[in-house]
Amino acid sequence: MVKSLFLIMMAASLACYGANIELPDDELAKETVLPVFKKPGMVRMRNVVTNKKFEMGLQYGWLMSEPIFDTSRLGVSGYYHTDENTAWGGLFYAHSTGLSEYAKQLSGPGFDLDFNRAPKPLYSVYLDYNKKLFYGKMSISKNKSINTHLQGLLGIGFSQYENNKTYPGLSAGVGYKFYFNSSLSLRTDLRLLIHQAPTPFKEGALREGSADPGYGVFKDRIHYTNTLDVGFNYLF
Amino acid sequence: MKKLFILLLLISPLTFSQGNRKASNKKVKPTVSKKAPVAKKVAPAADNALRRQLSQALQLSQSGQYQAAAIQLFSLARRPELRNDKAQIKYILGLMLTELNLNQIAAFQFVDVIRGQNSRYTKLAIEKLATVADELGDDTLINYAMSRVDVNDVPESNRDMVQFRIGEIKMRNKRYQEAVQAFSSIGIGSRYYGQALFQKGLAYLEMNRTQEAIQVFQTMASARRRAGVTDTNRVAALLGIARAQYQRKDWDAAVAAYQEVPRDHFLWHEALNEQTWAMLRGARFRSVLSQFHSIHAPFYEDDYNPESLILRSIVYLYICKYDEMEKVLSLFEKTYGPVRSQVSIYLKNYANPLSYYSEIEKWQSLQKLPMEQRSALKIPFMVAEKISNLGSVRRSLNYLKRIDIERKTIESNPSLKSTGLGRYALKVLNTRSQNTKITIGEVAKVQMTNMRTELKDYYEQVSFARYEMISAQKETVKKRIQGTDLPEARVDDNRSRDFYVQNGYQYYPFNGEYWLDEIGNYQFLGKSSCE
Repeated sequence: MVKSLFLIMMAASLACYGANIELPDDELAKETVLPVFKKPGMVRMRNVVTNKKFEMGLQYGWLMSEPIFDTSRLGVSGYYHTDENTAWGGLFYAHSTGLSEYAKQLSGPGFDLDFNRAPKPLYSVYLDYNKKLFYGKMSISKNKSINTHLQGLLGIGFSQYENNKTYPGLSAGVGYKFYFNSSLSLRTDLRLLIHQAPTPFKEGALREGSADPGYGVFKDRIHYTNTLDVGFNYLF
Repeated sequence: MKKLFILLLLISPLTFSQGNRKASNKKVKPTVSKKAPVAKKVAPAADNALRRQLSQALQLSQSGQYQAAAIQLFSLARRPELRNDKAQIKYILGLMLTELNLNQIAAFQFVDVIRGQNSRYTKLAIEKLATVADELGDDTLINYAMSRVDVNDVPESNRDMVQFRIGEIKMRNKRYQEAVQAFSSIGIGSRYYGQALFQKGLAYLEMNRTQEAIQVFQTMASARRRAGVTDTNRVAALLGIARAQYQRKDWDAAVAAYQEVPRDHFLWHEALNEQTWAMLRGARFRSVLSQFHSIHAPFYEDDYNPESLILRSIVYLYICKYDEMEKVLSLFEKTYGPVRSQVSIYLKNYANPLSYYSEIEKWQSLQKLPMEQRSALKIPFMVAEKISNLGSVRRSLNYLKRIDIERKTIESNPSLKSTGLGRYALKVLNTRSQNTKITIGEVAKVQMTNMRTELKDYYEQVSFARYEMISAQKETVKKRIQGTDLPEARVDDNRSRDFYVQNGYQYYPFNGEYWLDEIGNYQFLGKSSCE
């Protein structure tokens, strides 16, 4: 058989290799079903391999539903991928200590509320568990496609406030990573954060010009905050 | 069961009458030896006792106590006093064993009856042997039974099976016209109908009567129209049509027929491979390269397919894609270099066919494990897979499984295992098992020897291809120096990505990884780099 290969090739004309070949319709995909193989698996020779790798990240966090304090925080993260589907890691956030735009508006004439008297968050530390749900890819141009990861997120940790107290919290959400290459990715995480924290509302305590009552008057309760983190991660 | 009961009812009066007749014969014509007066007195008594045992065994069989009947019949079959009834006893013993799902042991009883050439039981035994041989799937037994069977003696219910097996034997003996006749006699209602049509089509192809083959395969596909898109008989028929078109050298029709094979059927992989050849013969090189991209995807890393890599490299040579050609040749050497050396070393170190069988056996347990867990295998995984998927090896492996089931049936039944029948059965099964393993091992050894020779030839081709590549590269360098080289170009340079998307297609540039849903959908878009 092998000896006939050259003969076949010699006999065949190369004229068909024209300058501008249209793709024949009969060669384009007609079926949406998948081929059957003995060994399961959707992808082979994947570009992004996470198994037994570390990952470091820098991210900006937006506390989407925070009404009083500054909604920004900056974070660093580190993860270890125990396999292709699971990663464990930690997150550290340094909160911006100012007030939100809404709170600033309330300090003006007519309201005279000074929310700076309420204890603000300083930093947060969370242990994070990531479960990769889907590995995929996106075609963005004729010559470029990027890989993606959709993952579930679960975190547990605490936040330190200005009143020298730490408050526990839980977070859960989904994340999406867009890989520029096999190491560098843009990561976006959307979470619901359920955490204990001092309530920055106390009748009479925030009034400008009145005596500062101290942090002790603000009672603790459970807060629900939506967060969106965007950052860059590096896998190594 | 019902049939067996009726059969036994018919046989048992014969036994009694025969026994009585013999007894009465002895009364009329006593064969008395004067030198052995004791024997003269004892023999009839012993004979009567044996006959009582025989009728007792028949009663047991009639009452459905097959195991007890089989044990008793087995010991009676060995008694020289009952040698005139041996055929009958063995035949009934065979029936009992069939009821106990001990087909292999039953087959031996029927073979004994056939060899004894008893006028009454030989035909019955042949018919039963044909049935159990069919159940067992053992070629030796099937050949033996079919060489003796007269189709007209076989009951209507089994005639299709016998015709099918006869057809298969005729095919193996290259008597294709006779095979066609045998397969043609199988009616549409038979469970062998689909297989018979397929074999008939193959027989026509062997005779180079492609048009008739296509008609047969079309009939087969139509017959399975309602069975679903992925019905194996339907898909086999589509593949048959494609092969017939290829044999007719109608390359475009062959390509079109191969594309009808549904992707979610295991035969699609064969269609993909064979389609490549049809495209190549039809000089559709761009399409060939598209298909090669699928065929050489890691999803097929366990497939033994060295030829396709060489073919791909040659296509690259013809379109002056030397870098690609070098990659493919390197892939060939990386993949098949270790295969070649491992096969050679194994052939050198092992002569016993059982060693070869043990590798095939290991492969069966390792086949679904990841690559790194297959180190127990001494021969390359892809070689073991290729051998294991050969029709003859597959049949033998299935036969071994059936023997194993019979052995377990006996071993799990202490009341049978401890008897003479149990010991005999285990001995027979062990011998059959051992012989089958040796047969598989011998096939494996022959295959590996052929592979070694084949790989040697392919390596020579690789050297030749490399030489051609280097010569051509020299020319390219010269042209580059002269400034006349061609820029990298694609066949769809004047098409934007949107063109495909607007026409309902997804467009993904290949970025090194292979996705299951992409297999079979790759399109090579490069142009010839030759001037």
